[in-house]
Amino acid sequence: MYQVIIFIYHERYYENIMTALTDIGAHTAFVIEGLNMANALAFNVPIFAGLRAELQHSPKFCKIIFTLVDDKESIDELVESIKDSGINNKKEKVFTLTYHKVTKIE
Amino acid sequence: MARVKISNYLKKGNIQFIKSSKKKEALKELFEIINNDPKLEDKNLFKEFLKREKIMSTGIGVGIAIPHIKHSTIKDFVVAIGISKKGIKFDAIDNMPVHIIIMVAAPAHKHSEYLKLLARIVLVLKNNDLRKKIIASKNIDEIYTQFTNA
Repeated sequence: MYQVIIFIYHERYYENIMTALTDIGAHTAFVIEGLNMANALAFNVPIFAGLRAELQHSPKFCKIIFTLVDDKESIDELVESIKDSGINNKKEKVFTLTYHKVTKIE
Repeated sequence: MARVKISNYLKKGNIQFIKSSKKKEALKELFEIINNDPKLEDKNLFKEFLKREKIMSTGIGVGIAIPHIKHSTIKDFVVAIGISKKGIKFDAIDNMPVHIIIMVAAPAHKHSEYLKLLARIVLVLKNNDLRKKIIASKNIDEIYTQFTNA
């Protein structure tokens, strides 16, 4: 079993990635609202408030999806489904996907 | 966790060109196809499709609509495809006319497969070239081939 974590940086592709997850049967994933470090610093840590002006036009959107899949093939299928949805991560950085093997589940 | 294949749910006889340009009538045309299938025990499920449309239009944009229901009286999946060259006013989320309707009737207990099938249909039809080819198809055989190769 593998744990997959996906960081999505663009709101317009959120639906595509959710559909791709559903396509491979990972519809029990958890979606968490995120905040990137630059925005967290600028808006939550007063000393860095000066960064706000610089961040005006930078994307604030960040969602993080956690899910478990049975095997490595499911991850390959997920990446393929994401591509099927029209996302080209090489052309535009839309998401980051990481995974690791789960050795123990309680 | 393997993905589903649309071709496994599709029969050539369940594809047709839609005559009407109005939403309810177009839905009815397709419903008549799936309603003839013995997998649908209850022959009065059309109202369930309309009920689903009331929640939110299944016209998901870019000329596609996927009306779908899940019901305890449905024995197994039944899928019908309707193509409209001129387009149907469907209250789609992008307000554009719908050219491809894929109607799905699913058994209530097959929730996971149901979600996977809907997702696969959406992902396959996100492909602009494929959509154009499907709409430009001259006959049912061509439409069927496009979906079976997808």
